[in-house]
Amino acid sequence: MRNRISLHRDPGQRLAQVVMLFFFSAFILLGLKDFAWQAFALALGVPAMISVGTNLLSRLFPTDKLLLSLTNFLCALGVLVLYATNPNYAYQQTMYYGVGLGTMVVCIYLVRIIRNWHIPVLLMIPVSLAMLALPLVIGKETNGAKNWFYIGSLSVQPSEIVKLSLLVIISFYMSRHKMIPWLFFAVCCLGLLMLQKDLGTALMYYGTTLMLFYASSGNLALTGLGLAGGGGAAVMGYKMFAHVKKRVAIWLNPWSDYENAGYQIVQGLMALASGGMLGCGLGLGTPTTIPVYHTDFIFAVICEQFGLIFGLCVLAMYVALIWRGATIAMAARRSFHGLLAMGCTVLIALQTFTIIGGVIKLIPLTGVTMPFVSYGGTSLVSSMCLIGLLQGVASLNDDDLDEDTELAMMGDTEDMP
Amino acid sequence: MPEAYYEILALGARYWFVLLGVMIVLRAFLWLHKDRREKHRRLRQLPDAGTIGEMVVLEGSEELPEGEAIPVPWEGVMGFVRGCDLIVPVNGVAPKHCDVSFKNGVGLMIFPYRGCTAEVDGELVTNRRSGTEHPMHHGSILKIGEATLRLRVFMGLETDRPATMQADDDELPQQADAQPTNVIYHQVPASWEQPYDGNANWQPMQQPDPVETQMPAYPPYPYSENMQPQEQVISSVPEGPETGKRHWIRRRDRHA
Amino acid sequence: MKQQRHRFKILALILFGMFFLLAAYGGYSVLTYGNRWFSSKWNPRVRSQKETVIAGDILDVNGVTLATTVDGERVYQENEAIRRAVVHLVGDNQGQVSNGVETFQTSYLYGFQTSLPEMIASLFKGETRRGDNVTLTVDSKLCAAIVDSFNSYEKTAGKNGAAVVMNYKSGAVLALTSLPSFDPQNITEDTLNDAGQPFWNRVTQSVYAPGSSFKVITTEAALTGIDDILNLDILCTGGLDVDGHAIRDWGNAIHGNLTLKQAFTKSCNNAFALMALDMGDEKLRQTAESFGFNDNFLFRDLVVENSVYPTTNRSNFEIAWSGAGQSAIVASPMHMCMVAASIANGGVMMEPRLLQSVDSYGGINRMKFSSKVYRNALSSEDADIIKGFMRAVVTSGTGSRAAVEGLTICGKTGSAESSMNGESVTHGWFIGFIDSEDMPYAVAVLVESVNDGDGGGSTAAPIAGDIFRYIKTMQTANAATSTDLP
Repeated sequence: MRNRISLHRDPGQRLAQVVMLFFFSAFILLGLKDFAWQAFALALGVPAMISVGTNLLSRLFPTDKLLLSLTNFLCALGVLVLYATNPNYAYQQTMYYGVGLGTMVVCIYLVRIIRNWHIPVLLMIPVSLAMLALPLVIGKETNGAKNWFYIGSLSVQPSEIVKLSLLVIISFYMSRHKMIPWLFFAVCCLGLLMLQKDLGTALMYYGTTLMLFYASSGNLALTGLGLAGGGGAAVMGYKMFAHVKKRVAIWLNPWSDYENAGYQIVQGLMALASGGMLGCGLGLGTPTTIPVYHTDFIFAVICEQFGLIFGLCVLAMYVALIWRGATIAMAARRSFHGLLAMGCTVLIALQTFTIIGGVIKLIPLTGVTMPFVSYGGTSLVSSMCLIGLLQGVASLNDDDLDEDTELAMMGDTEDMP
Repeated sequence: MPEAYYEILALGARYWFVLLGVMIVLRAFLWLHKDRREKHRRLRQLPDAGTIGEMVVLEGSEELPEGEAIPVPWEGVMGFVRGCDLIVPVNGVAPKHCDVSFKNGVGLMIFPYRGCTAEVDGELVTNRRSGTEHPMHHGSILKIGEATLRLRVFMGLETDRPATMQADDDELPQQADAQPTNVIYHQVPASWEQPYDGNANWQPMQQPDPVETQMPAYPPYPYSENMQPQEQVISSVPEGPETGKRHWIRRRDRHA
Repeated sequence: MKQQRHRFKILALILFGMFFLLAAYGGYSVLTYGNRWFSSKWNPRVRSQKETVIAGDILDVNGVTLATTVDGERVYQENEAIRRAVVHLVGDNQGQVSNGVETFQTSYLYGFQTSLPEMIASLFKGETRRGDNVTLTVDSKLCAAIVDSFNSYEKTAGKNGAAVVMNYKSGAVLALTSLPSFDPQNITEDTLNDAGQPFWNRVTQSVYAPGSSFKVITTEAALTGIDDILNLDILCTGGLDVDGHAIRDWGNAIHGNLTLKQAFTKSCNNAFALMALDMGDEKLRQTAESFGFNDNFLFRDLVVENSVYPTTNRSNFEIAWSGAGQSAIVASPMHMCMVAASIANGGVMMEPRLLQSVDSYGGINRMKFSSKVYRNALSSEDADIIKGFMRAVVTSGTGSRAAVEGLTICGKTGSAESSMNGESVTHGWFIGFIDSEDMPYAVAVLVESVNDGDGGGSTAAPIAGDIFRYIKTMQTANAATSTDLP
């Protein structure tokens, strides 16, 4: 029970205050632009949702408040920026956020309840592979990658869902030091992704698997081999696929083909430059001229509106997320939970790094989205699930700590026999 | 609002948003830091956090003398090298000899690595399955390489069978000022100064601190006469301020 | 588990490192390239701003208006000759000239740097916002005079070329002219389709083989790379045989024994080829790099094409010719001017700058620009030695036509063999400077595709001489009224 008096010194509360102030003022400003009532509604709604989301959720379910706060900030930032560019996206995003919260809670309980993962894992392997193979069969092609399919009118990207089962399967078998099952699964996944030409996701699967392998086995030689293998595959992919060659050429000099291939990156760079340090102002500028401004390049929009300094702040929030995730992983009692938590953290980190790196032209552009901030149902829901898994492990850690405390105190209350 | 006015407003608001953004980051990291500190503080008060007991060395080597106690985590690696959770620098032990894993309700399971074997209470454990079939519990003896270790499990943790013999601890090697083994090692609060009179009719003492749970009066244990009262410690774990070190129990079933 | 935890920590650190890299690269990119990306002609923000803001004026150092906005239209300097002479500096309103001030400095001209109070003030006054006025360091009359000079000589009239004049103490560019040129007030279909590429800024965007003007750098390499070179004699046999190919001099001359100074003054290819072979490619390349070759130029006000000294393994023949500034070495006239400037300035190469100041429409000074050292190309002792050699070139060598009475002119001519459109051509170079405290100016003149038999000394040097004469006249006039040239 927290002492009511010290509430104002509670770091979580202080963070929540500033976050709510930020969103309140931002939506009010946007509202003043066209006097749209929706903006003013959101000005009250978004902060309320953040506060309720964090406090209420942590009272109802075993959550990690810090993680939840960070996540809520990022999701709300996404809603804000989407509203500034295209309000419809913002409304849809809030809906997806609600769904995401639900799945997050489900994931928390999954981690808590399932004691013996043996059977679920065995089931997951064929189901995941089947799901991943579906787009090849009934999928539709977008942007050169064939990784979506439709259920009715809802577009589903199975690689985002299989992401979760990949983590569980890999953590499970790595914690038991049984290399063959996870290696087989990982290779199959990578193969399927390559066939679908979803190279960005394949890269992330590969990176996460490699990092988890290093964490669980510590075998530097094999890790190095894996890294070299990945590098070799990348080089081979460059030589074999024409569109990879194009991507790399565009990365090196996007102005050479401004009209077609380089258009995206150039617009992104111009947006970054126009933002400068402080941004060009919320609601000003021309963010909609950037292609895919609502998914991949949303970071460019943030930097244009709020400036580079704020963009770096967003990066710092992701770093805080990683820090917390790593802490949770290190405090885990079981190897499996530790690997699972670290896997979630690494996945989010790699995804963020990949997309921001592509936007600022550090690495070639890939087709991944920015976790939490980007518009997109599957992306948001799967990121929330990752956070849910993380929080599940965190809640187990908390329970363990409570158990330890209780056991240690048991002796005091124990009578002399 | 006409564009020009809004433009000025938005341009002015830039500074505000950047300021808030920086404050958010600072406060988030501050929270991280405070949370970490608090957790560390809690952990420091629980010196045995994360462990399920300890293994006492019955036969060791020069680097691992007899009587030494190795804390046992919930999951860990046992082996020769320093990176392991249970370091057993004894001949015959591989650099990474086996995985240990405690399952509440079952016991401590030993999973040897390839080419390594272990013996639990006389039964040979060579692979994963036999590790699951022969879990260790309080008092079990583990033989790896030339080392012999005895497991002591903390109170409150359950294994699949109760501790077998009362005289388990008889085999325990004596420490310099250790007392005869037929004693329950128990840290008594300092206010309990009263000597133990070792009678068969033991009466509960005056308790200066009220206890929250009502404990039933236990039937008397047969103690030997030269028993010395209280404050015998067997483990060298430092004591915390509020909660003491963990407690051992020799027997599971308390009803003699 | 303990080790796993430890490795988690390592992984976390790696991830932090990656994010730090992201932040650092992002910050660096935006700070360094931000202006270039922003000024890109495809930036829709600039286009939309153009509709709401009246663009500011571009002025030269004497206050002559080079570009202004009248009734929403961009109007350039009245005098057509001046207008055509400065068009590559100033740019045009269609962005045909890449990186002219019109496009490169949009952030000032279109009021992106207006401060908030100013915006509020102009809002209350109800007037349209105006961008800032940009004052350049350039003297537009000198630019026009350079074009006149090009046209006045038979050997250079009608030829493509480039000339740049730079203050070697401050780096300020006094003149920048590129021929062929066009009229920004009158861009027609023909102009756009002109095969001669009049929009191309040959001073900063084109790179040419420097030819003998590169011998300045070879000399510096020899001074530091060959022991006691000042006391050695180099034998020119007229036809040095390197791997079966012969190195010949201008007019197949045979010079006999030469000192370094004589070789420089006579621009003897044989001698420099020998020195290059003696020093080795590595040493010559390092010296070239210390002058800025192979560097990625990121100047604040100008976009200059990088100069290249080849880094691959080369045959002896190629190395030999490198000593004479041929075989795949290329540099822009801007860079060669900077090379000359560094010799004049005691070895310190200043960064070329174009902007003198930026003032708001109301006359408030918004920014003043200061000089920046680009690199320390060579030691001041070596610079003095080379300065002496370059003096000799003008007094008694190939650069005599650049001499002006009353001025101490130092220079180096060059006749660079190159190929354009499959044909082999010769470009005429002159780089040099006035050795004077009051008139610290360096020039580089390039004449493309000179006629057979002509070289730098007969084509580029006279133009350089005219430039120096103009500067001298200006100086005496200004001394009378005691104002300083930039």
